[in-house]
Amino acid sequence: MKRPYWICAIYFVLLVIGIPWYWPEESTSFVLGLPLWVVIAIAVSICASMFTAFLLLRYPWDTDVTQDE
Amino acid sequence: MNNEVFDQTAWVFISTYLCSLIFVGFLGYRARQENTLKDFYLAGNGFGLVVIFLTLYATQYSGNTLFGYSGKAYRIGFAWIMCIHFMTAIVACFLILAPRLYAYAKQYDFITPTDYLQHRFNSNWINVIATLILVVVLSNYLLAQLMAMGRAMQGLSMADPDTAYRQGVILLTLIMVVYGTLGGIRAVAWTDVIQGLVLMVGFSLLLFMLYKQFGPISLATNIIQQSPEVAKVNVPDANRLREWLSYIIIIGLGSTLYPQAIQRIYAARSEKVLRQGLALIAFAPLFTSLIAVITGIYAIAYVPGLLGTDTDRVLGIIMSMIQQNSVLGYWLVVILYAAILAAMMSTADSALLSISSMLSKDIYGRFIDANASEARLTFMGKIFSWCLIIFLVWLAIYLSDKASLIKLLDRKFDILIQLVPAFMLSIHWRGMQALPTFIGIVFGVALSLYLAFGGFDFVQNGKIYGFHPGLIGLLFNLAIAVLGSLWINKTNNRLLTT
Repeated sequence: MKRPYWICAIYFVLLVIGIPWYWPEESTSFVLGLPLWVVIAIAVSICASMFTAFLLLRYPWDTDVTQDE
Repeated sequence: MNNEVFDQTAWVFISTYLCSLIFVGFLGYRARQENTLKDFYLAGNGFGLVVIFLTLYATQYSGNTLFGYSGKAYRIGFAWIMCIHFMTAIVACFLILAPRLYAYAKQYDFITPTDYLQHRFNSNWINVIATLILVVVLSNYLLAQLMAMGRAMQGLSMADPDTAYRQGVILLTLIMVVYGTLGGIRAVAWTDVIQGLVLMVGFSLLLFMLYKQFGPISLATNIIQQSPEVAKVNVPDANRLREWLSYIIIIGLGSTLYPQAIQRIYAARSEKVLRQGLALIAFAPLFTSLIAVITGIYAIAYVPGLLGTDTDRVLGIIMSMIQQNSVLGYWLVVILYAAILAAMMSTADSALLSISSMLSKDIYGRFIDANASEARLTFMGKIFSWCLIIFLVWLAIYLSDKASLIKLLDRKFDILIQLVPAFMLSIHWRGMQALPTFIGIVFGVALSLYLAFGGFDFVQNGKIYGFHPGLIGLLFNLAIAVLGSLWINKTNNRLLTT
């Protein structure tokens, strides 16, 4: 990967949002029968999967290993 | 599903499924093109998209996913949703390693993971310690799968639990090792295709069955909220949140280094196939790990009161409840049981094949008989497979009720992750040197094990303030490898200029 900084930044943001450190422990919000913090963790996982799939399918790979020799 | 057994038709279905695996092993044997290591362990020119995706999927999702993850969700509640994060992290971490490793493998015909290390560092010390770590870790992983097979059979058989456990371990392992030694990677990957499909169908059916049996998950959540287990719905405490982050890092990085995963990178027919296969795997946590967590949540509500290693049985108990409900439920459980056996066997066979490749090529071929022919090395790999599996079957029976599955999972990553600098950093940084890399690995492993087993007050449930000891070891390991390499490079440059 040639310029991976923006990729690292996006994964970092997903990590920060996905881990529910910013919720009060007694949070009682529910969506579809699940605690809201769980729904957000699942949503972040879906985003992470889509972003990873995008990188795998579209981002050029640095595979020139001959210059290492 | 204790004291409940399948009828003859169900047994015929499961037996046919198991026999079909041996038949596929025979087809793999027939399909071999030459008696070489590359043909036996990497299937010659490699696999296409369907096989790569399903073999990666079936290998990555194991007995731990089904029994261990549902059991852990039962113990800690919704907080175990962290498992979909760390399973996604594995694919993200492949982005660090896979592109260049694939290119190296194709250019230099790598067979085992440590072929890369040998090429990169040309150091027997690094090669031996990496092989030792990988074999020990993988044997631990294989052992966990064998134990899970025994537990699965406890739910199926009318025999007493101890006898059923022993029968399960021995019978299922025998089938697996027969098709594995017959057809090598072809048999393993082709059976993975069957097993991966059965696994996906099984997980989908499980979700459907849970809804049909217990209603929407909101009901289960309500029941938990009004029970003494209400904390399992709440936002996790600070220690659990640190554990969440720790799991993402350690399993994300560690699972990428599993030899069977690396060998599947080698075995992809083309870069395009590898990219597409991994892209599909990125979504697998959503239709696999998440369902295992949901199962554990339903179990908190409807099967309360389990403790200790019994919590790993929640899936079996839930299935027993579904089975008794209707004919449809009964057959769905039969298919689900086939999926469970598939999950365990597909992971175990891949681990066994990888271990045999490393023992034969990296130890026997490099240090015992350097002039051995490819046919001889392949034969020795099969011998090693049988010897190791006999020992592990004995160990699985001996340890039957002595460790929870998830505890086995925890310790092996502490050790495996110490190879991160040697693989992931060295593949991007030409300046990395062999000696500090080796010292870093040794120090990292020693420190991780010392922290884990040293009996320290600050180590709670095998973790330090929520973090795995392996991550502390990795920090020191990285520091030694990086600073040592920089120092050697600086010294070399100074010598060159003078």
